Amino acid sequence: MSNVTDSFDPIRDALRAMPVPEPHPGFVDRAIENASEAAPPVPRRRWRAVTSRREVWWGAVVGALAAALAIVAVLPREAVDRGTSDVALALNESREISVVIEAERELTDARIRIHVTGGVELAGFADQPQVEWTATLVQGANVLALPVYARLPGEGRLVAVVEHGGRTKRAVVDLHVVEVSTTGRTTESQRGSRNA
Amino acid sequence: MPKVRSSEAAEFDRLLRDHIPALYRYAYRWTGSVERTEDLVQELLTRLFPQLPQLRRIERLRPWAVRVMYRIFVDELRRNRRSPIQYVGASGVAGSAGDDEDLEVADEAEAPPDLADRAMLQERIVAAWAGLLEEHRVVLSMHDIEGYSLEETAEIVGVPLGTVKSRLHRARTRLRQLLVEGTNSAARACRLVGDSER
Repeated sequence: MSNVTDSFDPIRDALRAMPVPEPHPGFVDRAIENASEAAPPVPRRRWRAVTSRREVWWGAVVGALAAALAIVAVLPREAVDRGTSDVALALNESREISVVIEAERELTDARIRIHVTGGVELAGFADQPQVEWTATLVQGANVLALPVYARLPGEGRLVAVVEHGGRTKRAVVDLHVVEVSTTGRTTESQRGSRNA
Repeated sequence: MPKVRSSEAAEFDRLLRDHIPALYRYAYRWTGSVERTEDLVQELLTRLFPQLPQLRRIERLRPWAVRVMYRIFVDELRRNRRSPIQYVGASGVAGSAGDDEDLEVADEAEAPPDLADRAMLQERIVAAWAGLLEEHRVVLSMHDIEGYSLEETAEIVGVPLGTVKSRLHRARTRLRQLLVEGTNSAARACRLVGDSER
C-alpha cells in the first residue's frame, strides 16, 4: 500500500513556497493608526459627540421587549452618555437584550450590524458572531430585541452599529458571564479570553 | 507637529504589530488579492481595538486573531454571494453534505506524473490555488502551509474536527485535479503549437 500522505509532500512543499506579495508601503502603520482612530476602547468622548448631533441616538437597555419603550424614557442620562451598559449573565442563561434606536426622522436603508464577542452568542446564530441587515428606521424609538446566550464564562460584548448616510453610531453592552457553582457562588472564568 | 498617540493606541500597537505580517500572509492566501487582504486585515484591527482590555488577557493572541479574521472573511463572502444557487464543491455535492463524516485525511488520487518536476509544480500551483474554493484555501493554508494541527484548524474555522478532515480531503483532491488539468492543458497547448508550426 502506498503512503498517500507522502504523495502530497511535493505539493505541500510547493504550497509553502508560494509567494505572498508585500502589502503596500506603510500599510502596517496606517492600519494600526486607522484602527486606533476608528473606535476608541473608552468611548466616552466619542459618544458625547454622537449624541450632540442628535440625528440618531441609541440606548442600550436590558429587559423584556414589552418594557423597552418605557425603559428608554427612564434610562439614566449618564448611561446614555456613556454609551455602554453592563449586563451580568449566568452561564447557559438566555436573555433578551433590547437595544433602542431613537431616530429624529425616518431613515431608509439604514445598515444595522450586531456583533458579539466573548463567550456569548446571538441565540440561533451559533456560528455567526456578526449579523447584518438593512432596515428602515421609523421616526422615534426603534427597538431591537436581541436574544443572547451565555455559552462560556468570561467577558463578552455586544456591539450594535447603525450606518446611514455615511454616519455610524455604536452602542456597546459589556456582558459578564459568570459560572454559578453548586453552592450558588460565582466563580471567575479562566477560559473566556481564548474563546472570544 | 508630531501626532500624540493615546496610551491605548500604543499598547494596541505593541500587542498586534508583530502578528500583522503573519495575519496578512494568511489573509492573502485566503483572498488571493492584495487589496482584499489589506481590507481584511484593516477590518480585523478596527474590530480588535475596542477589545483592548480583552486582548491584554489573551495568552495566544495570533490564533485568536486568526479566528476573528476568519469570521470577518466568511461574513464578507456571505455578503458577496448574491446568487441563490448553492455552490457545488469539488466532490460534486452541493453544500456541506457529508462534511461531518469522520474521514481520514488521506488522498487516493495519484499525483500527476510530472509533478515530480518541482520547478513545473511550483509554476502551476499558483494557478491551481486560484481555482480553489475559499473554504478549501483556508484549510490548506492553515494546516498544510502554516502547520496548524487539525484540532487548531477546526477551532479557528469554528467547525467540528470531522468537518475539517473532510474539507481538507476535498481540498487536496481538488488541488490535485486542478494541477492535473493544468498539466493537460499545458500539454495540449504544446501540441497545438507544435501542429501549427508544421
